[in-house]
Amino acid sequence: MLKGKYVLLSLAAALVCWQVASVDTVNSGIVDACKSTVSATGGVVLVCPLGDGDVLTNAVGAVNTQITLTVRDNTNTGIPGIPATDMWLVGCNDGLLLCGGSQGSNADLATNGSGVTTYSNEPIAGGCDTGLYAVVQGIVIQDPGTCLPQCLAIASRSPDYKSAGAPGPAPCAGDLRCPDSKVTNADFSWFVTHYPTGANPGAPYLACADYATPLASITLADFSKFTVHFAGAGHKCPI
Amino acid sequence: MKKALAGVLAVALAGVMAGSAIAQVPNVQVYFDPAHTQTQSQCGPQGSPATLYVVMNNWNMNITGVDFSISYPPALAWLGESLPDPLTMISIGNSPTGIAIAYANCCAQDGFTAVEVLRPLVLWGPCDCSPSGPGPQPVVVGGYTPMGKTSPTAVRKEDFQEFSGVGMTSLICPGFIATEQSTWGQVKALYR
Repeated sequence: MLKGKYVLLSLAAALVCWQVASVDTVNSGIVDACKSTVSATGGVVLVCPLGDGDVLTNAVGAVNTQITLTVRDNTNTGIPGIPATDMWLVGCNDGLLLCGGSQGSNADLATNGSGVTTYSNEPIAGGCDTGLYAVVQGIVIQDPGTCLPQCLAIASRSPDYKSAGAPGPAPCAGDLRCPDSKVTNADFSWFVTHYPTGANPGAPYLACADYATPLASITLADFSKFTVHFAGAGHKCPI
Repeated sequence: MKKALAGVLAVALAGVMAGSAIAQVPNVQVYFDPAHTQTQSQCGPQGSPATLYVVMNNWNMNITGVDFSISYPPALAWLGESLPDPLTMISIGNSPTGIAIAYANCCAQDGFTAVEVLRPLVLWGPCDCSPSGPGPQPVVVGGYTPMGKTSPTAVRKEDFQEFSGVGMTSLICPGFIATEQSTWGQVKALYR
């Protein structure tokens, strides 16, 4: 009789141990932005509303800026199976106008068994921004150390920087940013103001017009890269 | 005698090799005809317009941009210029002070052949090719001066890398060869 009780107790204890042990392999499915992590090598990419800019895996200067994201819950457990469409990129300073909304910058694949996914493609966008946020189900991924939004130092610069007016946004003056998802004469006129010419040899440098190496100066390579997206039929968001 | 002959042959061969090497250098040159064969010209009638043809030679890459400047002599007054296909190429600046030309995604230029990049329109000015005139007047291709370049540069399509070339010189009134009347007997007498 006593022996039977010990057996029962042992079984119960074993059950408890098994349940406790399995806690760390189960996730709540709720994203914890402070426990999730995102990382990438910094760099510069040209982004275009048509989607034919520089891929993150081959940024300006042949730098690989592919982003790796690990999505975790509050127990620090990776969350698998989050659809790629639930994860996207936005500009850290709200400087990018995504073509088609968040689908213009989705992750490559759903998260794997460890909650990991990558972003290999540049945002399909106009505008200009100094960095990128990774967003999961509407939540910006934070720096685990500070629990503040983590801005990846991947500068995104588009030849679509200005608006040509209706039916797009109102045009804006000088170097104010007002992309309209198409590369037009408004953008060319703006670019020229930063390109040294005989009439304007001291054209001021603007990083948003700097698309190619050597960075930190506006050169023929920048003009050539701009023109690829402008001359002929200017590139525009197909949606 | 044989040694002398061999020496002459060696010098001639070196000259031919040097000539072919020069011909392979990527360059930008002004031509006076649409077939791109004439780099020298006599004076045109003063006050009459003419079209020049700026051509990239020997770049051996797909070209998506080029920049240069042109120094025009007094015999040519620059009026303006046009691009061979304004629908697929755009420019910034002008050739006297520096011009940059870039090409649409569809239409990068095949730099493995000669590429015409610009057609300056000029007016013939004061020009005198006679022996008593001022002599040859050069039309010199230089660098994109607003960026301090001293020679033409072009951008390769695949990676947007910039390469330098050579700015060539074309001539108006290329020079004179003095002539005098003579007889065949007098010519032969020079070699006796």
